[in-house]
Amino acid sequence: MRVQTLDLTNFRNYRRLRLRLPAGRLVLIGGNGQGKTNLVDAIHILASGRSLRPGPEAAWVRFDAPASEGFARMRAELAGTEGPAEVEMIVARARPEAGEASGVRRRVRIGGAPRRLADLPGRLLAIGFAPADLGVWTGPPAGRRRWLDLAVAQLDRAYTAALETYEAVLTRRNALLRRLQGGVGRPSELGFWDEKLTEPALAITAARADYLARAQAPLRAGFQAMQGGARFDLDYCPAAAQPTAAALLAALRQRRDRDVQRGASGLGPHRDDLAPLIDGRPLAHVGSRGQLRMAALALKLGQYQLALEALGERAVLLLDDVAAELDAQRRRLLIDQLPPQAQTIVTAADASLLDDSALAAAPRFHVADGRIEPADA
Amino acid sequence: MADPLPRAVTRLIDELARLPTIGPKTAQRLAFFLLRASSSQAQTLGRAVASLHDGIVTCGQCRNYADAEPCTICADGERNAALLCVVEDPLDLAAIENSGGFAGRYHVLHGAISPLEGIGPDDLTIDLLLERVARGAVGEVIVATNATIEGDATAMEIGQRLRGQPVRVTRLARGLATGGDIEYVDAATIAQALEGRREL
Repeated sequence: MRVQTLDLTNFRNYRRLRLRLPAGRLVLIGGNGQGKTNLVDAIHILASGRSLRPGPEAAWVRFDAPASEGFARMRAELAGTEGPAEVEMIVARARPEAGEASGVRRRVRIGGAPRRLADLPGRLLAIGFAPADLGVWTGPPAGRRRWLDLAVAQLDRAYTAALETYEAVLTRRNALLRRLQGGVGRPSELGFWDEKLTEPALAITAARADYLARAQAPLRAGFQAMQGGARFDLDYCPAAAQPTAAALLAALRQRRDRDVQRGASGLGPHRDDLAPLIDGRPLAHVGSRGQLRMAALALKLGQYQLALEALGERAVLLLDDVAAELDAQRRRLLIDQLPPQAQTIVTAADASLLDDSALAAAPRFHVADGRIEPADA
Repeated sequence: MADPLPRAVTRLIDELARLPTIGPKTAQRLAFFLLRASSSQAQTLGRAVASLHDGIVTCGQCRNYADAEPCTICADGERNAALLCVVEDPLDLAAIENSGGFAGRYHVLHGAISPLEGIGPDDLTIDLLLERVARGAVGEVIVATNATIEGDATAMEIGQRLRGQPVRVTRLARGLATGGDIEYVDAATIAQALEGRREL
């Protein structure tokens, strides 16, 4: 799969951009704040519905856009094994003066037809490598779940909808728990929310387990390519391992008192984690800082390989400023492992970091103040 | 900076802006419309607002707002007292009534169970509903809450509280909209329409 053209209107620092992207590798060079990351981020959002950067979605709209243009549009034309396709997202700032709640409204179009947000992930197949990803094994479990959610959604069309349902029910269950914690209401009111929670919870846990089972071999290969010899395993640690709705309901009921005491739900896929092992021992215990960082990149390479096997489609690779985070040897190692046939967009503030690698010959574009020009022009 | 508008106008704008779906711009337009309109038009509106609460009672049976107690629907002996339709709020009642498809009586909950808004079962008129059913005239309770998570939670609570009572408890069907094209219907609605299919 590749992105043929990218259209941006009022997205972050881009007023208007129409860019034809080459099929192979592409290097975007520019100083900080010029729009390199924003460009790969637009592709990442079209691929997953989520930004590479933290922060509210309202920040996706160009901050000095006039009120009459309080929206951002991202649109990509794609070429895949199943022919051409098109994905589009419009993000409009809420207009409080028209009675709309704060935040944003998001609209998605696939092939020109309006679709739900949950239908977007996986149409544009892309994998992002951002500096923050390098800390995935040393950071909190939320970062590992974020990777897993994006990866599973690429292969499983129903997954995002299950996640959305689960989160909607969980928010309400937690609100009720806080009420009960404050002595308002009856614990039996939890019955409905427990029951609503089980179906998406079981679906999410099953989809994650299934993905990780299929991903073991590609992940092991990815790790070996980066780290050599040692055997790599990635264990799934579900917070709720109950296999049936009845068992999960019973477990929820059993810890009801504790949940009320905490004012939060302690059981369910929102508490899942992943445990990486090297030769059977926890990576976090035996790995060096460098190894942990390379193992983070192995996750993405494994994800790419599994998507290729499962869908017959090569994901677009987005490397955002990762080169600057690695020493020369590891940088070369990563670049050498990048699949040569995949469309790959690399951003760098300092192009000389790439000069001694396979990316030295890739076409380069300069990014300055929301404009993009070929480097040799 | 001094306010460029007379104080009476600013006061009206502030009050209008507190109404739902009305923002500051709309409030300004409404205020100036009333200012430019004849004095009697503004006074008619003012009297209607001022007397709004005076003439309204809550019907002791169905809990709907009414001119008198009991309300015209509860007082109508032609209606089927064995059928009781439970709705979230009076506008839902009006929608069902205007459809012309229902000739039973109603019960208004005045809301739905919503943890996010801090509304629990005790904040609704469910206890009064149970009392009505216990009096024995009702044969079927039709739960017509919205097709939202909150509406589902409310329906389930009502279903549980009525369990063991000699009444039939039903829920409005969900599925395809009249005039709808299956091609454009979302997956959740199609799944529900399949689940709720009927013999031809």
